[in-house]
Amino acid sequence: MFFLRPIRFFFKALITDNTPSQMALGFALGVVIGLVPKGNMIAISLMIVLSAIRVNLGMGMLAAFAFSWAGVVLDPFTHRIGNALLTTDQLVPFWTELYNQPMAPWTKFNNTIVLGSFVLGMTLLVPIFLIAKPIFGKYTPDWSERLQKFKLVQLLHGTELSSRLN
Amino acid sequence: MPKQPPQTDPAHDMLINGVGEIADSLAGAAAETPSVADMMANPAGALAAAAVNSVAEELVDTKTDDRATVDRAKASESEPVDDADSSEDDRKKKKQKKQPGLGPRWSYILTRGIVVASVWAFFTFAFDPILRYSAITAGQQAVGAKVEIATLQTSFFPPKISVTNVAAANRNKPGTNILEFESLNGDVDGLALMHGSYVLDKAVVNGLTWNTPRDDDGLLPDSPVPEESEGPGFGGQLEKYGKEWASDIFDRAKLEYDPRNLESVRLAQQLEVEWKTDFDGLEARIKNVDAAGRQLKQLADQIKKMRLDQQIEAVNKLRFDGPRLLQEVKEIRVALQVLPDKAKGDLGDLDEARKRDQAEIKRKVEELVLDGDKLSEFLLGPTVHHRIRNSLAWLDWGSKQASKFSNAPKPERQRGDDIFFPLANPLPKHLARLIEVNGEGKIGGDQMAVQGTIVDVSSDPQLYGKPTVVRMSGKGEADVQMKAELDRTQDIPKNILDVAYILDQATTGKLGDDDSLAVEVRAGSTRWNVHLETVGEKLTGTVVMLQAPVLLIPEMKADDETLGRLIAASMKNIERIDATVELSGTIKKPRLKLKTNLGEAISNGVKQGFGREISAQKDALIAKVDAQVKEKQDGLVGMFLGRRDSITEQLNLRESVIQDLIPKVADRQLDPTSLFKRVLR
Repeated sequence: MFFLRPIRFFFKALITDNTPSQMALGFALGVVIGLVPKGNMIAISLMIVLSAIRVNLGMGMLAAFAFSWAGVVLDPFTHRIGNALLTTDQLVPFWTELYNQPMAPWTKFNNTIVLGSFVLGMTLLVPIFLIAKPIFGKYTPDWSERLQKFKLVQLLHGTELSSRLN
Repeated sequence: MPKQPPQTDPAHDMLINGVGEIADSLAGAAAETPSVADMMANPAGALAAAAVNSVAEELVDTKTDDRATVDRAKASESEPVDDADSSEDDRKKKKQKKQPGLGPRWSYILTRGIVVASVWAFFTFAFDPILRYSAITAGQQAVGAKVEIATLQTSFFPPKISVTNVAAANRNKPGTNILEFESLNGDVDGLALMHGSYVLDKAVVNGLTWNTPRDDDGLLPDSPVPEESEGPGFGGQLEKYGKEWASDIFDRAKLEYDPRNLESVRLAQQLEVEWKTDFDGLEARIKNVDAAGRQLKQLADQIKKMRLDQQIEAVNKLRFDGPRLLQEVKEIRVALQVLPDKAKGDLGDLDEARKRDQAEIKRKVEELVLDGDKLSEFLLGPTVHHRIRNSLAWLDWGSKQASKFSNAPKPERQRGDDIFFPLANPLPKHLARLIEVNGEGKIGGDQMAVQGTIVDVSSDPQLYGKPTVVRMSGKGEADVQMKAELDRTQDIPKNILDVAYILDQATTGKLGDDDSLAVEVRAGSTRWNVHLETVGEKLTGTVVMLQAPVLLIPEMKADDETLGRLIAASMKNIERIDATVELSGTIKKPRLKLKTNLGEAISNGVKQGFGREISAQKDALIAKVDAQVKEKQDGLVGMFLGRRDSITEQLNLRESVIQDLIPKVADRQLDPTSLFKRVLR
């Protein structure tokens, strides 16, 4: 049915790219997105990256949602990081130059928490990926197999489409 | 072992074919790739097309793969192959099959078209409504009443904003809109937007009008209480002052004679009461002395008939009370002797009051020659007051709006601190460089078509460095030109308002007051020039009114034919009305000084005509007051003397009676021998 097509696509986006590497990178990117306050171009850009590269979108979204709460808890810490970076004399010319670039103000990089959380997230990206990859490889079975068991998936995709996932 | 041909599922074939058909159709649609210009003109549409293309592309890939599978299956059915070769080929194919990597692959990026479509849907269906809702909310917070916006549309390439049917209710005047307009179309500065500033390069407001009625009261459920008018605080200063003055001046009958208005008469009446009280007090004391004296006399007369012990007691009483009464008489006499000095002082006060009455009468009578300034205030005060009040109210309102906009509280950031770096070309957060306005509404009571410009409306004038300038011109029966400069570039706000009103038509108006003197003014043309300046709270300015040529027809209510005739005669020579008001003080409490040729001309005319009559009237009034006061004074003196003599006489009489008693008692010595004999008997 025509109206189910977008939902099918959405589900597809969630369940494809389910190798351990893709899930780990999705998770790591999701962590970064979760930490960064929303409503600025940095967060939107990260979302675009998450959507654009071959990583597990579902895991990324889940991690972003979960770490949004963690981000609030980490505010005092990220504020200190951001404040230190933004007020370091050596970096001020760089920030000033950046601040004068088009679109830069929309990134809100001059906000202590935005910059602090972004830097923290980017720093943690690789370690999280490296830690998460073996964990996903060990404990995560094929998502498509599991999802096939859900009646909603069967309903949306039909038996034919479900069979394609095998 | 021979390889079995692969079993094909009919349902699977159907799916493959269906997918293939959909892919073909989508690929056809995708072939119509939008140009860059199209994408710029309609980004949301371009995003949607990209999403469709992505899905199509992926489905084309899928279709190709699946068709290849079907072909292979069919080939295997027709051409049996060796199992070993087949398994080797499969292994090779598997090896050759590209392993999933981490790099971007467009088919997958485009698969995320659903996400892009969501973004497109947001900007197409949700962004403008959200922006409209935000604008309504912000507007309602600003005006404290309902704000309606029918539609709000935005486009990004090029950035534009379009708003239709906007109405903002007036919370201080329920049931009316403070302003409304049909449409606003604005070009947004894209470069400034990229730097985080909302800058309207040029906006056009059509159908602007104000003070229009609305169906509901326009108040919000939690609307604050309507503000008391905080406009110019002079109230009806000129009107009130002029009316009070006129009610005295033009009702001269009041001045003819009213003793109650004279201080001397009132004081004389008061003195009469006081003196009477004093004398009554003394008389009461004398009566007490008289009663006591009679009792003593009666006791002295009966003393012979008393027993011895009673005689002793009576004699003792007489010996004590007699001198006491005499002492009382002496004290009354002293009090009486004090009264003339007091009376003299009182009469001196009375004389002073009489002099003041005379001066007041002189002043009032002299006012009958009509003080030019006061007459000006009386005649032109209300008209001028009305204009000034309107001008100040507009200036006050504009000033408040400018201050409110430039001092808008910064949105509270909940998380983190913003560190600001110097910008090469800093711009305020909100700025409207040019707003062209046209519409219609009432200015000074006249319906007019208005058009004008509002330049450099900024949320941070100190940063922007330019004041907001409003230029409006109105065309109706009269021409109105208005320029307002609302300067917030310095710490102290400064406002300048210039208004020129030109009415080149014959008009008939009325000056003055129907209860005293009204003047019908028939003017050939009317001009008003208003210049107001405020620096902080300080107000300065001038308002100039000119009417020429004019015909003045007075109507006087008071039955004073002479005055009426003189006023009419003096007005015949007046060909123009020229009034200048100088303003000072503050916008809340302005001080006004009105000068006109009108008052002075009438005053001079009346003065010349009245001359002798007024002087004679003044003398007559003063003589009358003198007579009145003298009569009261004589009455007081007569009363004083009469009662003083009466009291003195009474005192003398009582004193002599008491003094007669004392020797009798004193002679009555108690003889011990006689007393002893009387006891033995």
